[in-house]
Amino acid sequence: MSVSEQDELILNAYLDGELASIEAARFEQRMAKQPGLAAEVDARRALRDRLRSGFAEDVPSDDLRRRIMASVDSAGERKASSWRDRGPRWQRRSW
Amino acid sequence: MNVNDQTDQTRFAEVFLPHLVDAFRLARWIAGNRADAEDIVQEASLRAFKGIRTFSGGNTRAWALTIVRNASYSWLAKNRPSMVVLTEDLDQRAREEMEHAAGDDDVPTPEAALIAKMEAEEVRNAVAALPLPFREVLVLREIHDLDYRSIADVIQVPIGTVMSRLARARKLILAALQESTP
Repeated sequence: MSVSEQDELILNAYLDGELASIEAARFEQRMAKQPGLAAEVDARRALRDRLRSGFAEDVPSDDLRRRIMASVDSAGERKASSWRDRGPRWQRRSW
Repeated sequence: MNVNDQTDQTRFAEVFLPHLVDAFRLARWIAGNRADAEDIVQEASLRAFKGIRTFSGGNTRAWALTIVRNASYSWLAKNRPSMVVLTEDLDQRAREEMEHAAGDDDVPTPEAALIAKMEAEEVRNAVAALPLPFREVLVLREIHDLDYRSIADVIQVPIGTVMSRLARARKLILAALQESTP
């Protein structure tokens, strides 16, 4: 079934829980009368379920955290040394 | 290490690090593979650390994902410039296609039951084939479970654009899956 552009936006917002409760109720009434609309929502819900399955193993390597901490540590040290270099004039040696 | 750095590192650990898995998944969907995604997240982490004092509270997840998304685009511009398309053109095209599609019965609706039977891999390949502006909105919604307001914040567009891109992304995928069905 094809739906209008406006209905396309509404049915997506309904699926995503972005409609106010009164609008959602109104849309549910329309779905009850138009099974085609309900099928469009169901298809998108099935798509979501399929996309969300099997993501538990999709995580970064342990090495990434170590790499991040190393680069952050070295950036922190560079920042600290640049502060030291810009220390108060009276601290600088002048000979 | 002075007190300020200690504070920066503590804040970084509190604000950015809890979202490392989310960061990795977003970069992976944008870049297309694990190795590039890890390089992007490392670069994003450094940006987050350097800018940690600019974080003024609020949604740490959206803040972290915004930095990852920006770092991903910088990486793409440098390494895969052909993937960075003009989103204004795409949005215009998407609007026209959706207007055109209204009242047009060319694309049959795939039954929900059919999609449920498909391999997850097949569905993910269809997502990977989407143009980037549609793919990132779909991933932020479906994988990261962000609401429209947060997606708009992360990709820095109005909510209306999030809505039309998301609608378009789902429609494109359903049509692609329908075509792939024997």
